[in-house]
Amino acid sequence: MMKEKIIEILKSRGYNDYSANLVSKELLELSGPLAKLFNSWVENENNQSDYRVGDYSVSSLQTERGMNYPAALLTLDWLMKEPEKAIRSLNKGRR
Amino acid sequence: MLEDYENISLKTDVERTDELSPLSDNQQAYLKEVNVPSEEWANMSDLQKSSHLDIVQDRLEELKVSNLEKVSSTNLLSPEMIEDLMRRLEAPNDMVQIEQVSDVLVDCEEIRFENWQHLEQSGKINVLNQLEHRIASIEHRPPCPITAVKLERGCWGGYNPITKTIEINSDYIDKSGRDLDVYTEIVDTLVHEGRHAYQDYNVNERLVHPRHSEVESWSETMAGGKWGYWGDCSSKLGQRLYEQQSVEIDARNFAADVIDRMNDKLYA
Repeated sequence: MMKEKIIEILKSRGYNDYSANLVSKELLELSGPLAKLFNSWVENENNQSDYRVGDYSVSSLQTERGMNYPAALLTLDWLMKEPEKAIRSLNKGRR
Repeated sequence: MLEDYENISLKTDVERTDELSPLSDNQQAYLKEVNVPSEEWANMSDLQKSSHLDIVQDRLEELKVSNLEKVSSTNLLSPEMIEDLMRRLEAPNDMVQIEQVSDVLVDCEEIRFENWQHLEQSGKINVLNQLEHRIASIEHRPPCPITAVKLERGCWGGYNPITKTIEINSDYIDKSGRDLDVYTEIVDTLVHEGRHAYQDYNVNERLVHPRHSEVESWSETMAGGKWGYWGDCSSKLGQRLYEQQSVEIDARNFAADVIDRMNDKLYA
């Protein structure tokens, strides 16, 4: 998928220029199953299938951490690629 | 740091006002902070000393400091002048700040866990506000009022750049009296949010951080999504991009270093 198209869709769904550009690069490199989920969401914002990595899922990140769908996918992707760092960061919380 | 200068008195009976007064150790330390080599001060001629005072004056002009009496060899040593300069000129470098903030925490009896756990929530907030005042003084920025606020789980607190206030999760403040780990995170949050206030002050109010390139880095992050780091921008960026923002890396590392030094001093 073209980066420009992703940016355009993200901006139409609440992202500003900076964050759309920043996030689009990461979304283009999502792991296989997560990339499919993202492509489906791009086609229709209501397509928000769940997916689980360890103790975390799209739905848990959405409900407990307030993340939107792309942000939850990106966080799961981090959990798949660097589980120790990601878990430590999630456990540390936000401040 | 300001307490170091309490013993300095204003000379009112000086006949020869063009004569330079000797500097105390603390004053020399301060001049070192504003880029005057204190070790060489004693052996310098009046001309050389005046030259270094010009550096201070140039820096004031660079900062566009207004309503400040012109610096001269005769009035630089007034306590009011030094206090004013302290607020307006560069903050100490990070290593010094880390050392001084950890000293503040170590010196505070109430923040120690054995005393902290017996305080009511209002008492805890009072202590946090007192500490914030002292930390802000070290960082050459105005203090931010701290309040306990109900926040969602996983969110320890935040700095609000609009109201210039710090909010800390009231649930965690309650738990901090019973759980040493939670208590440590509260202290970490105090320092972390204070660092965000320092970043905000440097980017939007007055440049006091000695490393201007770092402030530029903070500014770029903030300009990207104006104050996106405040609140929960992980909701759109995901956890990794949120955590890797320059302002978050800086605040996290600064707070971690302070806590490490505090523990070194308390338990080493």
